[in-house]
Amino acid sequence: MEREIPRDLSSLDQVAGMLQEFADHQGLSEKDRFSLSLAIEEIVTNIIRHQPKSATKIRLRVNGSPERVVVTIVDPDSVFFDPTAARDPKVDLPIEDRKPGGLGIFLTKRVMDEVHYEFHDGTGTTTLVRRLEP
Amino acid sequence: MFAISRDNDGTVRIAGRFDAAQIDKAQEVLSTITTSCVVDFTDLDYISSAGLGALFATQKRLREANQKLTLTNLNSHIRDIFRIARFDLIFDLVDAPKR
Repeated sequence: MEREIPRDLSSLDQVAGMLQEFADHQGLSEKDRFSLSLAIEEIVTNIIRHQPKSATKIRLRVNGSPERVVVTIVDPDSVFFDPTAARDPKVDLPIEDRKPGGLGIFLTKRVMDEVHYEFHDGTGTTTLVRRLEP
Repeated sequence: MFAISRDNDGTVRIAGRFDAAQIDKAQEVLSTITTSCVVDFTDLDYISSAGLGALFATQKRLREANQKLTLTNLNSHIRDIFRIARFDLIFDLVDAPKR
């Protein structure tokens, strides 16, 4: 399943709809749906925030097998941002010392089994893999 | 679909999908909170880091006035996310998971 989505937060409804259609077809569990929805939103939101003015669309591809779901998110007008290299926020600090931010990528890495990033000629590609429980 | 409202007793109810596109709508209600209150998650299906951030900012603001949000009826998936983000250290989470 593949879609091109406008670079706008209002596209998140479209992304959620696409994932729901895919998840229904694949018979994914509620936990898998939630985890995939979260990870995709975090990556797409990051792309929009880093390069909001580009007119290009973000390409989203979701492939499934009985063992795993692979999501590929391609930003054809990207600035380099490697989510796999992002430093984890210090989540054990008390509220007075905690800073907002950094949670999106942290959560993505925790709910996905694999996160990969490639950058080539201005195109950033993030690949998310979630293994499905038998 | 996302909805947020406030009951006469001050309880905040949030429902649907609390994603990054809903922050402005959420802030319209969250910014009015000045004293301790309950946020009821019974009808909330989904939350991302953007929603967590909005709740965190509200809790941090209230804390300066010795007030706090208490969150109720989180579903099991949302509860897992709160645990991973260690938001269970920041909020009192009460009641059994919805599912």
